[in-house]
Amino acid sequence: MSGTETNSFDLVIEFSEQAFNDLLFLLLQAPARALCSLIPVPHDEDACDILAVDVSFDRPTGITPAPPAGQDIVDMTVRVGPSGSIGTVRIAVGLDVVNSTSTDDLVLNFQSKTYIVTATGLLALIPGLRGRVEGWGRPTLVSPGVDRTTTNPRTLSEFDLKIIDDRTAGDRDAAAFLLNFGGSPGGNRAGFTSSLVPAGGRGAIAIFFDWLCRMLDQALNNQFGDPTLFRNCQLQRPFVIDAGNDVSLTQFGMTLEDGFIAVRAAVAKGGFCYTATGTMGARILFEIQPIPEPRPPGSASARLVASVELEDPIVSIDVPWYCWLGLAFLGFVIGALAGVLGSIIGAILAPVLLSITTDTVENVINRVLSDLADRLNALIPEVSQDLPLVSMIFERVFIDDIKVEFDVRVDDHAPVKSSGFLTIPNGGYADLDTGQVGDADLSGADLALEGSWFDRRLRTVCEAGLARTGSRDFDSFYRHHLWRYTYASPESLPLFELATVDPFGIFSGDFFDETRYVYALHTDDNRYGVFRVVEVEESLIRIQYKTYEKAVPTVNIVGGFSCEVADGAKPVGPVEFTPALGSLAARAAAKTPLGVSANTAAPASTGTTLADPCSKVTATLRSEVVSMVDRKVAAENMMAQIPVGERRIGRWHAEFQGTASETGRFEAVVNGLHGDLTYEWEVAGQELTRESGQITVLGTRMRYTVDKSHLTLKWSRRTPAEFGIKVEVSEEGHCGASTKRCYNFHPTCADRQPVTPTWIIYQAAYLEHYGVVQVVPDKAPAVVVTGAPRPRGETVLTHVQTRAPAKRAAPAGKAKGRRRK
Amino acid sequence: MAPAKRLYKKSSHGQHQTHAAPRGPPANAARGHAHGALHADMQDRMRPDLRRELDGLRKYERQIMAGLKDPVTARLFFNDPRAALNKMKVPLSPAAATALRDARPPAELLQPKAFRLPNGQVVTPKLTIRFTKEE
Repeated sequence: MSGTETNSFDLVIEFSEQAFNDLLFLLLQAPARALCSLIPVPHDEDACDILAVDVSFDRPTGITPAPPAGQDIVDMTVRVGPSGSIGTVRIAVGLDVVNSTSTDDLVLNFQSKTYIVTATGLLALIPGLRGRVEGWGRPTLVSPGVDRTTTNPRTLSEFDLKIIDDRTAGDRDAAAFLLNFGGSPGGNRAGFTSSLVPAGGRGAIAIFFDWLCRMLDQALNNQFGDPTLFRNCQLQRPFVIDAGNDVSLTQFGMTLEDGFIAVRAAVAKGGFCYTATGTMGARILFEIQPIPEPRPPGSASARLVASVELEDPIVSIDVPWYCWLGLAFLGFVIGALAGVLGSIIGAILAPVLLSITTDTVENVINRVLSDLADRLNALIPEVSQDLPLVSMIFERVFIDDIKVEFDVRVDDHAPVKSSGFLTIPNGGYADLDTGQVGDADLSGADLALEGSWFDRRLRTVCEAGLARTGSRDFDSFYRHHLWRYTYASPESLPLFELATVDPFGIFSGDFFDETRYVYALHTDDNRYGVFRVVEVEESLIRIQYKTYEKAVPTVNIVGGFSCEVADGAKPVGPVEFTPALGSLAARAAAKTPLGVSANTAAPASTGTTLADPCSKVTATLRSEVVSMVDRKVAAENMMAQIPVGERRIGRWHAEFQGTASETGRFEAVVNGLHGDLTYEWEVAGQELTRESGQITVLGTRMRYTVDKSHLTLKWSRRTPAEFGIKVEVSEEGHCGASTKRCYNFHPTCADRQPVTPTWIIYQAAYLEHYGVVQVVPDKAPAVVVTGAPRPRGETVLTHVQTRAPAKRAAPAGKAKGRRRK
Repeated sequence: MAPAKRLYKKSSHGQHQTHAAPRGPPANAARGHAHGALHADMQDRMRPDLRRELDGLRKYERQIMAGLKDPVTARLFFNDPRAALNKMKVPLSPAAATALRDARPPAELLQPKAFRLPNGQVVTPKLTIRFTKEE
């Protein structure tokens, strides 16, 4: 039921505790490091860089005085040092949403809502620990801009947060971001009692069907060129959809059902001696499909694909008896009713449903999803547009509201020391810090391959430690993830854990089926990395590995002038149509005999004529040559092999031009430097000595603001340019790092995006690239001839008369449209 | 085929029905409807006597519509209008009966049809042909 999952909020983004760990890691990295430096006894300073955050959304008990019932609280434990060797600190803090006219800031209120602070290990020795934690103030976790008065369903009007503490045995807790957009009547915050995120999952998105409809209304109105034609996913009045063939869309509506979106549409066609009405239902289903490589950098790795199952249409042709008799008097020489089915079903009704369901709906939802990762990154104030720290990998989709499960990955941008593939022979040693392979004399070796044949094992060397991650997703690990594991040393991996024996290897020569499990490694040289065995042979194994650099002093400049395509922007180039494989295959399947004698007749009025002058000859030949083949099954198999997303006539794309913001935001991301850091910025060779000021760069005035690691530039230049940005970071007057980045400024950017064509364009493409493909059905349809009046309850359709009938004088005082009973 | 003479049987009202000489084309026919009354194209093609005959049959509309409620009669009217009118006891002039004697709608109209869509589905329309009153 609509609104069930979202509690009537337009969009709900939920993060599991595991995913929230990563988000809080970003925020707590610096303050926790600073806290560690206050330990009053000698300790390993480098170990202070190793941090793991464990968040619990279970409401903590025993707090005196008890916080208000509606207060959202996160209870987090920060482990510092390898396996928490430095100590742990537990902090329970209130989360507040601070509303202003233009933002709804989500803050961790350490300043006045720190409910619990306890510490273990060396961290417990820090004097005045509670006061120091309260001194962290009220850091902003996310800061979305809002417009309270907007009616635009794409503009955020309200942001809220709810910590869901599931008290049931399932304990499905989550942090839910609750978003409303223009036109929202508001949601029920108290309605969330358990998470949308499945057990073991990391995130889920729920899209309120009513919000989807508000966006679809816009898209559909654009598609049909009438700004008030659709409202709440319902057609508001009959609409001439094909003036040339006198066809009107008389009914269209979408509703949310259990597991799918139901669509019902009807058309009416006036013609010579008849009025025909056709109604057709459809189910829209969704699935998430990976986008194959190569993909543009930074683009999504998966997309939502809509597929549609259409019901058999119901066609009613009303013929006045008097007219039928007139035709009979003429010996039916006038082709009344010829091609009616083709022209309303094949050329209008089916294309309308396919257009709206597979293009409009899919594009609108995909736009929401593709915006989410950007929106999330933009929400986090420490993150600039060009730094995609948070990526969302869409995994599964469910309808009720529309719920999409995703994985959240937070990239810490830690430098990689060494990565690639290594071949380790039996008896060989490998150093994953340097990527070297050698024998027992190899210095710094981390792994050794011992034994022979099936008795081999991969073992850690010296002080290297190993942890089993249980994951096969090599690319999902960042350095801070590796700090969470407890490493065993010595440890070994028997061959049968790395690969299983393939009994059919005798045919292929490959006797091993690799498990491809990913292992975390704490190297002998105190770095962290991951590896997996990708190939096992009789005399060697091959591993893929990635070892992160230690926290050596490094600095990187990230960020830039964001370039965005405005909502509602017009394409700057032509709308390009790319035919899909599916339409070609379906058409080809229809063109072959297939045992169902395809293309018996083409519709008279509309559509591509598929009559093949050689059809009889080729059909005979085919039937002679491959009579034993079940052609229908072959055709179905052919369609089954086409991805769902390609079972359409094609896709439309267009180039859009974005404009660079006049404000550029840059950040110096520092690794391996601690304490009170000093930042010295330089732009185009000019030192920025004040907190704010202005300089001239390439003849154009530029204003700057420096706030430690952040640099903000305001530049109104409208032509491309290149200038250098340099930053030097020093730690209490000594030991520093510096970097210089050459920034390419482009005042505009091009972005190729999918577009929803107008109905006119879609219909033209449909008829050109696919047409009306008529086949003889498997089942004999019941053709009913009746003189009985329409059954009560049958939809009364209004057809819009588009052309004044010949020699007809409209009676005075009557409307143009005709209403039929 | 029913003999033409049967067309002059008494009507259900007990009156001997003959076709009065038409006094001119019906108003609707003169205007020409897209449906409901005769289309202009149809008028142009139809012999004047048959046009008058057709106009004369309009007074039997209630009787015809009542008969067409029976699906068998409706199907008969579709396939063989003359036989259906006979069955409904609607009188026809010899000229009209002759004109209708071999009138059969194109078989294509009742042939089963289906359409293959780009997504690979084949949909088969469920077709109802409904005879309606003159509008």
